[in-house]
Amino acid sequence: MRFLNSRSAVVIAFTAALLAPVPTHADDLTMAGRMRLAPGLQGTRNANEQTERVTRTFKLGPNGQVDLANISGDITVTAGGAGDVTLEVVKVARGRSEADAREQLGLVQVEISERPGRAEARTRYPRSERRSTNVSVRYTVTAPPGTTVEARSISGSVRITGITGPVNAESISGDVRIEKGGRVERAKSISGTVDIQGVKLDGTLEASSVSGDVRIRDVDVRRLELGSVSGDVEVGEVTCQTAELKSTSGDVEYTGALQTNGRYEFRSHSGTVRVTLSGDVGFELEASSFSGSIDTELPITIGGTGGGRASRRALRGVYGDGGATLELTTFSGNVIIRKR
Amino acid sequence: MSCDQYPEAIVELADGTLPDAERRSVEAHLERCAACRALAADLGRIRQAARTLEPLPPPPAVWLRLERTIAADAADRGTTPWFRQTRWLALAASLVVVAGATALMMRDPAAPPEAPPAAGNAAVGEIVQRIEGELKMAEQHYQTALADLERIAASDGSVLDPAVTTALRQNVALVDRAIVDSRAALDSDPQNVPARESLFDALRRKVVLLQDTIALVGEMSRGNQAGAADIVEGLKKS
Amino acid sequence: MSRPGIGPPGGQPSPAISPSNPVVSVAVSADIGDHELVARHRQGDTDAFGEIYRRHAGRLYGVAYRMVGHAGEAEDLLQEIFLQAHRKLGGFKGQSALATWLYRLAMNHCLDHLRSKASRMSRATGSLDVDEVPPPAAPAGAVELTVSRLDLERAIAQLPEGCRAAFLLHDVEGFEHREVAEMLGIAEGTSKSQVHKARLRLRATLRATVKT
Repeated sequence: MRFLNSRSAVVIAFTAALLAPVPTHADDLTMAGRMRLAPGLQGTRNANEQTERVTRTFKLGPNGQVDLANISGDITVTAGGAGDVTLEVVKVARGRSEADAREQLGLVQVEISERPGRAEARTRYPRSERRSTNVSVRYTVTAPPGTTVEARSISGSVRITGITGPVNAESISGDVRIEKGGRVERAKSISGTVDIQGVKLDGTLEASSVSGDVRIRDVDVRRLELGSVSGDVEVGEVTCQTAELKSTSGDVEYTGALQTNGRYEFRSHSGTVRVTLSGDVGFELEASSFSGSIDTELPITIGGTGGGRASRRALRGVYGDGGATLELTTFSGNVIIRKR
Repeated sequence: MSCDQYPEAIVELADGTLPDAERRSVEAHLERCAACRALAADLGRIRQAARTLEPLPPPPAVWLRLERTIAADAADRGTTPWFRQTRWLALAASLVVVAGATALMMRDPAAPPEAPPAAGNAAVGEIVQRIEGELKMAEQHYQTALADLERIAASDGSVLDPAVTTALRQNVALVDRAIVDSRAALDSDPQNVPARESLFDALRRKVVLLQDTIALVGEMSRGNQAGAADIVEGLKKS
Repeated sequence: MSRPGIGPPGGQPSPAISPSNPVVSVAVSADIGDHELVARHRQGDTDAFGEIYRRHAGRLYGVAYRMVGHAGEAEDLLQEIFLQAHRKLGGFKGQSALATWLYRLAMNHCLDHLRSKASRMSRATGSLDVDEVPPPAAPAGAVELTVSRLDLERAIAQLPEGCRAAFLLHDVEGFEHREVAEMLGIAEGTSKSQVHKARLRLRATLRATVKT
């Protein structure tokens, strides 16, 4: 099979996609069917743009699994539907001519497959012997809230709303946004931002980006692990028992209250670490910087366990009831503590 | 003995596997026979050249595709979700456990040290050295991976935004600067906790970035090219 | 992460696992033998196979590439070889060195690949023991032979498969005839004669390209 040349292999894959096991209820017309019957009736804004739409429905039950791997295009998953998972795939190709666009459409394959309790969709591009492929593929999914969702796109964004089952969302250059979720296991981008709101989870929420910001709001979790390299990490109105927020050149900002016996570690190398505190729980503080300054609006009583210390670059002491532990560290950035 | 009988013996002579008794007779023949001498010389050259043929490192993409396939195998057998498996298996960036380092870092400089400071520093220095040694190896793979990525991004039909590879380069440079800064600080003040933590943190951050970049090459070579192997894999699933 | 003086006395929490503090595998040093690695792999240590790859893939790729003469095919072959190795490693009993086992697997793949390629192109394949016309002796007083690596690589590519394999394993990779024989599934004596034949043919090819 290694010796199939790529063209024949593409034909086989296309055919295979058509012959994929058909679920028990009606589909929309298959891609080929639509093309055969009414090529001109597809949504075209102009002759050089060709569109294909495929819809599939899967009966996976309330706790099924959905795996989506897209390349150039967004993925949107929303809770809803009447117990089924519906997947709509829209391919849009732009070419120099109608024929060219249609050829491009055909070359980009979307493999949809189903196994008991699991549905999978994967976009595949051809080996690039040809000049630019201008095709985007959009996945839109509705699924029961308890579904496990794994979604990744290379240059598109990933947006997941209302899914309380386990969620893994990744994009390379696109943004990741998760709202009203439950078990967010991983949310990650390289150059895009990661935005998470309205998540409740008795576990760890992990999110990171390399050059994008990571923004978490209104979240109730046991542990937060957030990081970026050059982006900021911003956390607001969260309830968490432990938190580790890090950036290298971006700022780290925490706004909200602390939990008794909570442990909070915020670090940036050259950015600012800022805590704006509300609520009644105080903290034991260990703040240090190599060359940055430490500035607090809250009165810190120097002392506490481990000995007290106060200098321009280090501050150890207690605020309020000392209920939580707060470690703020920078290398050259500043540490700032404010009251809400 | 005619020359026809000598070539094998000559070869064995060159290999050093010729028994002593025969060696003298072969050597004697070589002194008399120019043609066999020429043969011996040629074979020696060929042998030397063969020894110097360069090792050819396989491209990192091979490992990543392999890893992916192995993970898919495991997934098929229901052992682990395919998506999660490939995450931190980045071969090139396997590192030494830093638990020892963390233990050292927990020592409060204000409290009496359990070991003389010099020993503590030496241990830290050694750990840093070991990590950096591993990083250096990973670095090579990273550079190759990044170059691959940039080539993919620049090629026609690529879906990878060149801004991503730029972002990766810039961010690794950023972390490198943090490493340099921290190390300089630590040199000037070896007991300084923030400097030490900064260094370790930056080193760890770099590992993550390298792993991300290398994994990205795997993604691109898998998702972006419907190579025959991929299609076969896809066919197996549909 | 620092916890200077804060936290339960005497307690040493282990580093948390997170993307910013990655799980790092225990160093697999060069001191760990191949057999130990196999044992670990069987016990489910996922990093052990990675280390096996790290140790052996480089050389195997070189051999594969010089056997099939095409980088893309060599890459595919390398992947297949290691995939099969991964699947079959459970059955490796340790009677031979791991390298020998791997190379044997690799050579089987390479030779199969070459043979099926050749038969697809309806070309007569070279078998291990084909009798060929012995290469001409060099004229007396010939110029000293300088062997550039490129010339040698090209000449190797022209060798019939059987002796090419033996030559690569013995002269390039440095295995002994006993090991080469195991890897190719032939007798030790056959290995010697194959290598010998290869060298003579290489010499003839290289001489033929010398400009006098």
